[in-house]
Amino acid sequence: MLDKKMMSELIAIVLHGGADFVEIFSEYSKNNRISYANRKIEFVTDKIISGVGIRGFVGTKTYFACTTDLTPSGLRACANRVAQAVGSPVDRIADFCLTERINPNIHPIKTVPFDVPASVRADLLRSGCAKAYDADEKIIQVNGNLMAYDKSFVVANSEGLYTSDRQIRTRMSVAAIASNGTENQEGSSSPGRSMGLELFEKISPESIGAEAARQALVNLRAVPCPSGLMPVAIENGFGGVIFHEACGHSLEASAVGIGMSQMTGKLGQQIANPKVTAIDDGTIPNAWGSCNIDDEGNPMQRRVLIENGILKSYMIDRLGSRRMDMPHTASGRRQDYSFETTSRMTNTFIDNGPDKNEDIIASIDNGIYAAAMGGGSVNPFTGSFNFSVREGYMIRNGKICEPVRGASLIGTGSEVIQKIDMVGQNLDTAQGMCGSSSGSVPTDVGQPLLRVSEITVGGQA
Amino acid sequence: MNTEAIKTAVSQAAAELGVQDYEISISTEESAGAEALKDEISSVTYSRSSTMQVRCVKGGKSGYATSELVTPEAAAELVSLACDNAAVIDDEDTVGLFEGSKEYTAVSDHAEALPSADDMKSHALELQKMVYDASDKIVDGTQCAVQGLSVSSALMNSAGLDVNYDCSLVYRVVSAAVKDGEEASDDYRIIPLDKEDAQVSVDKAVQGALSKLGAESVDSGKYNVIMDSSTVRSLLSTYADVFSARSAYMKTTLLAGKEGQAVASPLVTLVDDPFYPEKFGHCPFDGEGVAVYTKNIIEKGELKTLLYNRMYAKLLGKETTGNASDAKHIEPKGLYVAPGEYTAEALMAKLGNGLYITDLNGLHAGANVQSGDFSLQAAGFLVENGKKSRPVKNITIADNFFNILKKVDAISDTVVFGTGSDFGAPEILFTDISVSGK
Repeated sequence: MLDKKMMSELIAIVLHGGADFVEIFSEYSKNNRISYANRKIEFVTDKIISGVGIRGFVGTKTYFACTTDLTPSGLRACANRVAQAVGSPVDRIADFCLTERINPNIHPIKTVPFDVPASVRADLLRSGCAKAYDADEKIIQVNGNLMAYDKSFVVANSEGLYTSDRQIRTRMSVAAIASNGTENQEGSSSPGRSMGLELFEKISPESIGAEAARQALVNLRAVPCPSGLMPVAIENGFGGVIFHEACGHSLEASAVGIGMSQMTGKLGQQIANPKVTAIDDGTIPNAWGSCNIDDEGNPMQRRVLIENGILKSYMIDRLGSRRMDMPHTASGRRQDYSFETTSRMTNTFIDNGPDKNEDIIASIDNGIYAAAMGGGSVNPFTGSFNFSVREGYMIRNGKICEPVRGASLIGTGSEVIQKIDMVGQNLDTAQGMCGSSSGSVPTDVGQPLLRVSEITVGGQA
Repeated sequence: MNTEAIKTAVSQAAAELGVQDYEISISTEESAGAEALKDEISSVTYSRSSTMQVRCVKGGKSGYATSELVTPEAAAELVSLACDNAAVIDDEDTVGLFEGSKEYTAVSDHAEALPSADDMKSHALELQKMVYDASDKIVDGTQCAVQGLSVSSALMNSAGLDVNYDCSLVYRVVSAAVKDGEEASDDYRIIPLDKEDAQVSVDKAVQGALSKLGAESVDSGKYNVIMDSSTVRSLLSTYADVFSARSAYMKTTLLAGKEGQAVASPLVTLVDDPFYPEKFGHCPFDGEGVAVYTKNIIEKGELKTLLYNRMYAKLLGKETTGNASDAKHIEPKGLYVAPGEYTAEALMAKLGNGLYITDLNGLHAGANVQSGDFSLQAAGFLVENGKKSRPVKNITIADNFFNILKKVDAISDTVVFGTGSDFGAPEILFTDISVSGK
């Protein structure tokens, strides 16, 4: 990675091009993936990510270039690209001095994955996948991946910041396919943490495989989900994707700052049911979406986004801060050096509420219990969102009944957040990869069991 | 970057570790863009990146490692990592390296220099002004951009393979955000600069956004549905794996063992054509260096072949179809549904009453490739008496991919490929699709 001297030189080049702020992001990361299919370890690969991203601001205009050519001439060419794009050269002497800031590590790592032989890691994956096969002879295929991420970066800017972080993450995903000869159905489980292989001391590989198989077998006996408007009880963990899609993305400065969000201008307003308090917290030790600092070098924060239904905060990066004339919230994130940073979520969840979980189920005469959710997407401008149900059941007369499959839930964020009218008490989080303009970043979603009084359920029946 | 120096470094490092068989792939991508917000340029970007992958066959197994550092030193490190990885896998490499095809189709693609930042900035600003001029309902947040992309790739191995390819694309992105009171809608158009006049792109994006204003849901029920080209392409791309021999071998596609059987309506012919003229990129070789060619996957409803690479061809007793993305994985190279006989108007007339779907969302989660089931957020238009009547939103359409192949009732006469995409489609009329709305 680049030293202070080279960073200073590159910053000066872009400042001389006329930028009023310059940032250099230098990254060296190593990712490893071990893949299992058809009862075998079939693929192992390492990927080294190495490059530099250079960004200059003029007010709210941004100029960005990146390169994998780390020779001095390659780096100067990259900085000159940015300076030329800014295009208003100035003679002033660049007045900054890079001073290193050391950040406390709040996400200690016990066993760095890359310190352990790949054959040992492969055995962890084998045991997880084998457990899925063992669950039932109807399990005809099991796919698994064990991913290890070791990301190191240095970020420096024309305000004198020079700081670094190392982020280690580990994740195992197992997908099991159950078949009755004519139909195939899938189940999956994919826990991960900002930690090393000690993840598997907390969550055993076998439990991951068993969960994937259990869900596949439930789906194999599930009947097509009915369609229409109905109440839905959404379980904790990945159920939190409802807040992530229906509301979270609309609170990011990338949408709010240019007026492309339904939530623009609504700070201080009652936007959700008073039972809803929502938090984005990048400081939770070893959580999947946590870091020590964001990708702009700011120490992570805990932000209450919505408190008792009232909008309290957006998620703001440096550019958003300029656009919105508000302080940043340490929300600048990027997949790697090749993406321009933007405002992103970290670990985002709806907090525990006042309702007992059993009361939530009992309150529904005819609706859906979404025990496990899949991913979704949203258009923050219109608020229109969707997400899928991976494991669902009918609720009749306050009782959970037969499993249903193939359901999706759709709606408009500003409406559905008002319709969360019961919030339970078993908060838990689950892991996802969130895609946006700055690439794919790890995020936790979470919530306790909650009820949406009415939402469009799309199914085949 | 000195390819010869990298080859030498890999060769030496391989020899030191007792590896005779190795393969190197190097790709370089250059991209640039300018984006406008309100009446000024908000962002200018430039990126140049290279990636090198090394594959080593050791102890009869293939290991891989990849780096964005493309230097002789990094190449030597990759050889070591690839050998370590080969030792971990269980799968024997039964086909080994490919020495090259006798002949490759000659293509005229080549990488051109990307436009200057100034040219891209001025075109983006021009587009932005045209969008604002097109309607007084356009709101700030509307963003137009020009983007350029140039890619080159080379694949070489110790068996004598040495092939390379390069191409480039410059395209405009026109987005239009409109508001009427509190109601908001948007649309966009992404199209190569030389494919249509800028005003046409602007009109399509703006009209697209305006036409969605006033959208409401429809009653839940079964509908006959026309899916436009973009939505059919989305489904094809999501379900492309069901045509893969790897999926068949793993028993994860319901098309396993069905070659020679009817799997779709007789109206359906599904083609994989790496050289389709309207498609971006016509690389004459696949991820193993095998010459690619055009083949019918489904012909008049009958499954003619799945897509094979060398490994799964050998395992299943077939020949490769030149569809390797790498030695283990398979991908289509230009997948499209062959056109039918209906003009767009005639197709709408044949539908009579139903829905015309122009947007599908949530495919990454709401479409299950194993079962074929999908339930997807959709939007489009209500069609009454063969004409578009009002816009529709907040609905889902749900069915099963394998079932809808059989529910094709008519196909339009024009295939459109997405910009930069390997998937193309005409508009297709499907019968009896579950719609959830009010």
